[in-house]
Amino acid sequence: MALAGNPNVGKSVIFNQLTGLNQYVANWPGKTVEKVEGILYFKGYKIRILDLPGTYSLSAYSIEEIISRDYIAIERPDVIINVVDASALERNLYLTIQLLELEAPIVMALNQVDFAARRGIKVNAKKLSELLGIPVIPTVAISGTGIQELISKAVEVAKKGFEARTRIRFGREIEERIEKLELTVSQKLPELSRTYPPRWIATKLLEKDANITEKVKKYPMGEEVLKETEKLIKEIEEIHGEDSAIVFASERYSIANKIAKEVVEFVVPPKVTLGEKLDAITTHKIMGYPILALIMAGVFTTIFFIGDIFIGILEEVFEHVISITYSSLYALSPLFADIISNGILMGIAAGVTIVFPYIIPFYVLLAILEDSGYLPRASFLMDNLMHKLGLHGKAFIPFLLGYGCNVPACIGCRIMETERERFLCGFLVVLVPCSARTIVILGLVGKYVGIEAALALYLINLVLILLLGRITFKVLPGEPVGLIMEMPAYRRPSIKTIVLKTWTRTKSFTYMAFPIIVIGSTILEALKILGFLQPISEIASPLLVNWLGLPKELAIPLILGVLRKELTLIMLSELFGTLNFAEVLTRSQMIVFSLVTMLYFPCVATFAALVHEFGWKKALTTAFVDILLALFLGGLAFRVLEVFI
Amino acid sequence: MDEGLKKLIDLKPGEKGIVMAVRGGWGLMRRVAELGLTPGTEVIMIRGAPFRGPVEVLVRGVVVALGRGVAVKILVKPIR
Repeated sequence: MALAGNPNVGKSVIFNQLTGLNQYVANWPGKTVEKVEGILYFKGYKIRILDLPGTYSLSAYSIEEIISRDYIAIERPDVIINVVDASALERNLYLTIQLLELEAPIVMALNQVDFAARRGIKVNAKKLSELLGIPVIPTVAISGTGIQELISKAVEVAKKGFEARTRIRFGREIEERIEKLELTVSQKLPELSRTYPPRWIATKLLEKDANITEKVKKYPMGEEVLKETEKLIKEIEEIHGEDSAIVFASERYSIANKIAKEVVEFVVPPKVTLGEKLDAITTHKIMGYPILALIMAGVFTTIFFIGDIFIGILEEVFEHVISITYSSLYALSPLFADIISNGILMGIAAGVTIVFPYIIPFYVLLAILEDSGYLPRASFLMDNLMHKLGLHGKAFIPFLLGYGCNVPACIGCRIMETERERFLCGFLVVLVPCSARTIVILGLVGKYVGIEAALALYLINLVLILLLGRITFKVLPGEPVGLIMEMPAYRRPSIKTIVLKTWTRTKSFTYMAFPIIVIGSTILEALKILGFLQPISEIASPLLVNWLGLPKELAIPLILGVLRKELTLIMLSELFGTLNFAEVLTRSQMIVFSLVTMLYFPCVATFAALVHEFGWKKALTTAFVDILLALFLGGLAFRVLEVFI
Repeated sequence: MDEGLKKLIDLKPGEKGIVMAVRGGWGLMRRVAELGLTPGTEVIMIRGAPFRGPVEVLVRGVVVALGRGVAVKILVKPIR
């Protein structure tokens, strides 16, 4: 069973209702798109449910769309639940029509009927079902209304399989040409016609679908089919005076429009709802920005406030555990004790003290912002600024994530539409000072040099991201994409969704980052025991002393800092045996040290996220650029500061 | 521009228009069409963002945000 629907229609809420905690997130093989699966137990059936990515269409425009349609065509789920927003039926039907074209067995969940009713929109589900030839079940996902009926209907349809009761019919001049090409396709490409319905192949060819055209080319008879396609496209374009892709989009929308007109009734003239009022204020030219700033400030104060409390408790606990383990193992073998407690346990401690105090509150607040519909507003307001980086408004979200932790920020870059945009976004987002780096900046520069200097570092960081964005934008091949985004209506966030979202995100973060943190920590401990760190710091010392003007002892904290950037501060205190850094470092050394820590090699977990999202080559390039940048600017800062301080 | 066509971005808040053409690359044309802005569709301008930012328009019952670069490429015929 698979769930398909537009973004923001409550698809994941329905998915959560169906599967509860029986769900797991992975990636589609070879793709950076989440594959969310779950299990539903219903009347003795064990049903596997897949939550397809939310898309508006099934064209070949985005990776998500190709994944969805290939899954439907190739894996042939027994039934597809098409989740539809009752308050925006026409737009949602655009996808439904394409699902029907794929000849998939469908049950429609007409969701958010309550919300539509409040806006004065009433949808005649029975008539809609008749017109589309598929069962239509009205639901309210958040309260669970209609879910039971939806499942029974879906099971019923799954047993019966696809019945072509209604076919999507385009205008006559197009219909004739589809049928003509369909015949050719089924004769000349029998193999491909077994994977996809031949009528669908014909339709896709006629609307210049790049993915299908590529596939057809691979067959020996493909050239002939494409030649005929070209001729037919030309005819269609001559009749309509438009690009054939646009002709098909228009045709589908006009079908959607006709159906929607017949089943949608405006009961009362739509009143201005609370959500609309909120929308007007939060996207207001002037008012919108202070509100945005206030919300962001609120989010970060809350995170740091909660984080601080928990981090204190957890660190104490871990210190205890580590020292007990160490002393009890020391009797057995000192080497073993070092590896276990300072390597493995320290790694786990590092992971836990980041995840629980900062990441979880961050995910909770993020889920609230997301579920309520505020994030698109923020993107809307920030679009202009993001264009300065060569990105568009949606990129604001990963940047926001980055101030919490760079790992989810890298994954968050998936919301960008093209590979180019994704990498550009990921490349820049790892430079955003995360909470760990904030600790170093505030704990060193903020405390000993002054808050103005710390803020100046942030400003330098912003300028740097801006400049780097401009340069990368020019260097990276490909065409930039503009902002095209739906603004969903404001909704009251549901607690269940927030809990589940936080849970799944924390889980996938843990799976990805934890092993690396633990392994990295163990390796570094081993290097330390084997006495490799001293020579490394000797090698690095000319660079450190002559170029950056830092004491050579700082090489070790900087190297170990790749595990967790805030470790650099802790090790600094261990190294010098003091918590008063003013005794051991000059003010300009503190600034240089913080600057380098802020910019150099992203931490191990972030690097892993980069590899995961963009591959080794791009991850290594990013790391390399960051290290060079840190060294260059560090040296520059040293020289500039010498003059002033 | 001939026949009283306007760029979408030039519509005033509350003003209605009919999409006539999209003057962009094929990819842009297609994306815009898939979100429902096909030729002949009625759009209502809701509001623009400050500092030459994006605009919000109502199309087929859905509010869509369009970047400025996108909204200047869509030609509409204003109606009252």
